[in-house]
Amino acid sequence: MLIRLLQISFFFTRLLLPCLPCMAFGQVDENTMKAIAFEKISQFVEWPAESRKTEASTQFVFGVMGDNKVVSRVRELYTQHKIKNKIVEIRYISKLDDVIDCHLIYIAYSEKDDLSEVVAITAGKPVLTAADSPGFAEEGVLLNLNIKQDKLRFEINEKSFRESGLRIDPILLRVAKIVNPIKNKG
Amino acid sequence: MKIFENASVKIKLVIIIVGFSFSVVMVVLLVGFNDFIRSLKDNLRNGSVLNARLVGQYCVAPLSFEYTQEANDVLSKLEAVPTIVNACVYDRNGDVFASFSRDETESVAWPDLQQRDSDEFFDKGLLHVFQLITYRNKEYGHIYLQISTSSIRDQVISELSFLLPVMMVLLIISCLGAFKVQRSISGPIRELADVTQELAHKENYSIRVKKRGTDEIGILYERFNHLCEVIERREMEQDLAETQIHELNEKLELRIRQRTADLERLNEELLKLSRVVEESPSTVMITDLQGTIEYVNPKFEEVTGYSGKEVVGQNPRIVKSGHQPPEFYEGLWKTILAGGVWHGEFLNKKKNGELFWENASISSIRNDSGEITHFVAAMEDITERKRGEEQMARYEFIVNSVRDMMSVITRDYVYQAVNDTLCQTLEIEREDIITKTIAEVWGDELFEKEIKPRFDRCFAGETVVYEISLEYPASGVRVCKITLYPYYSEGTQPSHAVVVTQDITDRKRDEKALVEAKSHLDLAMRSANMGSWIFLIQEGILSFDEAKENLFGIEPGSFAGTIEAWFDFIHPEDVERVTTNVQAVMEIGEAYFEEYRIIRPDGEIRYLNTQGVFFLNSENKPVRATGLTWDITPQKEVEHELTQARDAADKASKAKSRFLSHMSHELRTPLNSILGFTDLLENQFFGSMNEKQLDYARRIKNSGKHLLDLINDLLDVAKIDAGKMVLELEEFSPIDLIDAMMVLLGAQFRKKKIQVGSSIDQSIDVISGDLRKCKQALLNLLSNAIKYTPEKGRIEVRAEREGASAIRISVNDTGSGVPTDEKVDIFSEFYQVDRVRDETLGGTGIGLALTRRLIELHGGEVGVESPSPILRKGEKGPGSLFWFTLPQKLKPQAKPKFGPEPGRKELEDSKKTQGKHRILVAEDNENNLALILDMLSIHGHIVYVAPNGEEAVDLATSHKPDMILMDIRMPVMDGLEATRLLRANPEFAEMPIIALTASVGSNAKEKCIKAGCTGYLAKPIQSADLFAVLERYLKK
Repeated sequence: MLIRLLQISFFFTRLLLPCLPCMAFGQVDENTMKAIAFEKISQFVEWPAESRKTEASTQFVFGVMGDNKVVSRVRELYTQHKIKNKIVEIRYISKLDDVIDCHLIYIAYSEKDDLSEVVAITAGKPVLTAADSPGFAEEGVLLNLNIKQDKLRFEINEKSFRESGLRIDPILLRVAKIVNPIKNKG
Repeated sequence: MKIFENASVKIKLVIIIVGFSFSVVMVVLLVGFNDFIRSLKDNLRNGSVLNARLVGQYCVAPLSFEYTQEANDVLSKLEAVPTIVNACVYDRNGDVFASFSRDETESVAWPDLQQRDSDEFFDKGLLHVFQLITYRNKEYGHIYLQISTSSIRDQVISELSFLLPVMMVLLIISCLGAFKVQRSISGPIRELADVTQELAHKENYSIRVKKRGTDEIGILYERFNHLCEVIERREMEQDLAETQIHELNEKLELRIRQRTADLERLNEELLKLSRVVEESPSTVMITDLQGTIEYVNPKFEEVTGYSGKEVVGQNPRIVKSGHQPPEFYEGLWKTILAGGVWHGEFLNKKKNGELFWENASISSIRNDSGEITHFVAAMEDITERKRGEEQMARYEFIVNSVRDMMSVITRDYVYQAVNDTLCQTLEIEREDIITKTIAEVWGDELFEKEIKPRFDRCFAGETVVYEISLEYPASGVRVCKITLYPYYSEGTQPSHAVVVTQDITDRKRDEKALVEAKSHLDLAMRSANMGSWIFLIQEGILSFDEAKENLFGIEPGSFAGTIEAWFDFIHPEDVERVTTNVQAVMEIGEAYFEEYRIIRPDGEIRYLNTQGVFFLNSENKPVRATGLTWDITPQKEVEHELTQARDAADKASKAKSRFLSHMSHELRTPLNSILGFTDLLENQFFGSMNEKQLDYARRIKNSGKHLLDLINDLLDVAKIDAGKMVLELEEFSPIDLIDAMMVLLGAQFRKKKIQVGSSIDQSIDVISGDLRKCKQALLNLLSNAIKYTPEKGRIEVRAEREGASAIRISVNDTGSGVPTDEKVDIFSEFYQVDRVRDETLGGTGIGLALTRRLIELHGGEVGVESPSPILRKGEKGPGSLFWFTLPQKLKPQAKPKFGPEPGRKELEDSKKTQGKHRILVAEDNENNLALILDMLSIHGHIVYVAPNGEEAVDLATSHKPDMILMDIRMPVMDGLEATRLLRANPEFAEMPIIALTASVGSNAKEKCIKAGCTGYLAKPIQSADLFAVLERYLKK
């Protein structure tokens, strides 16, 4: 028991110490970079106040579909860190209908078969769908991450975003790659 | 400044007006300009801050995602703002993240973010602006702008080029105005100056100036004209007065010449008179009406010693002696002021202070119109005559003051003179006795028989002394000593007899009383067996009286009478001390005390006490000593016996304590085993037991513990007796003391349903004392109270102040109380109130005795009162109050850091956390060893055993155990020595070595720590204590 505890604490120390003071990319691997990006991007997104059925005011519900290294990084990171100053609840989605209870839902590449259904369920709902697989943005996922030359880049499906009811700060759009842009911006 | 003062009024006025207007223009200009520049700077700064904020917002996302390129793009948009020279963005660590520079060829040194003075500041022609970049209360970094201030300079120059010409025109106008104004003031002043010049030079006082208006200059003109008029009038009056004075002078000169001739004639007459006065044999003094001396003649100087110069101008008071009353002088003045001549005698004082008498006649001198102008005094020295008279009066006084009767008798036996004493004693007037014969006063018979023959011898030239009883009318019969002195007035035959009669009745009586007193004293000394002695120091004579010779065991009168003879008797051991003391007391002449032994001629040794006084002469040299000596041998013998008895008792008491201490140690060793093994049994380490067995094991343990308490108490008492108990003073709160006891005894209180209360005086913050011993004392009192208090009784503990420097702790109970006759004994060892009942209650009988010893060690007191003051109506009682006091002057000592480990932990806990370790146990007692091995085997530790210190060192060196449990008392080599040897080897510097010792107390602990032990365990070893030590030291 003790050794187990020690192992865990040692592991955490080694993993998290560089990130703890401020969530910055620095010299971290790609998966960690992606995990951190969820928090950074959420800073620029506003969820409508009445959208959650659950105890949304204190918790940020982070839905996860599939299991990969990004997911494990997310799990490790957000037991320590908050998103938008809320405690993060990691929720593994076992029933597709549950995704509408999440603030953010990460869809791993392994779940590409369910993608279209998830997009359909979340369409017009204030749920930030996120992925890190090429072409997912075009399929209707709001946020799609990728790594180019050791830098994190991301695509935003502007049209789906507008329909979801989530508000995105134009500051974010300036540094994102826009998919399905809205032409008549006014 | 000088040049300005000498300049004309005209110039001054122009300078003042022009200077003033120039200053006003300059001040207005400077103030306005300063304000203008500040507003320009504010505008620039506000604009720049706004720019920085806007650009900063655009940098939020690039900063968040660390997109340097995007940030540089944002900054490059600043190209459109011409005033911005350089700009950069810092990330959250303060490093430059992106930058923009207008002049791309130049590399810019970006300022360190942490070193900046403020967020906006001007420096070297540039405005520096730092702005924090935040987004939704989160900091992302800083933006920095460098802005050129050339726009401010340009605006200032354009402003100045307009203002300077305007200012010049204003100055010229003010100069012209000043010139105009000065003319109206300086013109009239110049005119007045010209007129004054004419007045002074030509002395033409009829000149006037023209009148002007009514301003200040007009008034000045009018006053000037008035002044000229006054001067003109004065000139004329002065000429008239000079002619009149000249006439008067001539008349006066004529009169003075006539008067001078008259005066010369008078002077000659005066000269003759004064020569008479100067050569007069009497002193002459002339004073004025106030008494001030105007003249004294040479005789006065000769008599008084004052020179003429000294006294002229003084008052005659300088020769006044002060011996004559003021009325005397008043009479004098009355006579001479009325014009009469005063005759009288003065007692005056010479310059050297000597008094002298003068016969004086004082008269007044009148002038032509009959008024008194002076007084003349002529005086004659009559001091010699006066002295004779005084001498006579003094002799008369002496004779009359003498207590003896005196008379002068002629050869015809007639009283010629008598003194007052004689008149009073015989109750006769002086006039009546003078001219009477002796026979007429004393009767014929007495005269013929007793008096006449003696007078005849006196008249023959002999001084006759005799004693006689005479009867006086007032005092009755008195014994008188009469002396007849022959008195020669002329010729060879005595013409008179002088009789002195002295009353010696009282003296005779005193002499008799003295003789009686001496015989009484002799009697007293003889009955007290006291001898007296006298030592004439210079003569070297030491004399003893008969009684003292008796004390020395020698025949009366056989003492040799020298100090050496005395020393021969003194015991050789005392000789030196006595010599020193005698010499010391002879130098200072004090009272002398001495105790010494003598050896009588028959060889018997006696103790003597002597006391005496040394008398000093006027030169502080001792001349004589006297004193008493008595025998104190019986007292000395009693004292000696008493001392011997006390020493024997002390010795016996110490032997008892040693025995107790030794016995207790011996008893503790087997008890260790009993308690230890019972502990193991009770904890059921080696299989479970049934209820009965468990109950017996507990009973054995409780009895063993009770026996251990008893032995510990005995040991403590023995320790105190042996003086080995040392107080470890510290300061503790009374709550620490009392609450600890309440917790400790809680179960016992509950068991007997005793109601407990405590009250602590609020003003007692800390108590200084040995907390452990105070707890022990209080515990004993409380245990006692519980023991003797019936069920549902009451016990109260109190801490209060006892006087200024002590604290009193008391335990009240409602128990069976203490009978009055046992209140003292109750604090003695092995005393119990009710022996029969005590056997049912249990108890050692040492508790209270130990309490008393512990408190006495603190310098405090213990006591008991019964019945208890807390007893209420209806309670059975009588109850008792036991108390002790702790004096609070004690200083706390530094407490030794070394302490017992325990801090009991649950056995189960230690079982879980212990791993396997290698432990060396050095112990010679097989029972103890078996106990320890059993305890250690529970955890499965590997154990090495050494039967003595030497083997312990060998085993430790070869096997390097994790810990050593070291018994202190072992054969071959003891534990302390073994520890020292191990510590000397650097390999064992850090090894935990735990001492096992049956001795408790700080002394034993200190010895262990000195030898190098890490900790210690007190025997009998309790399993919980052992496990606590293992856990504490093996974890490391």
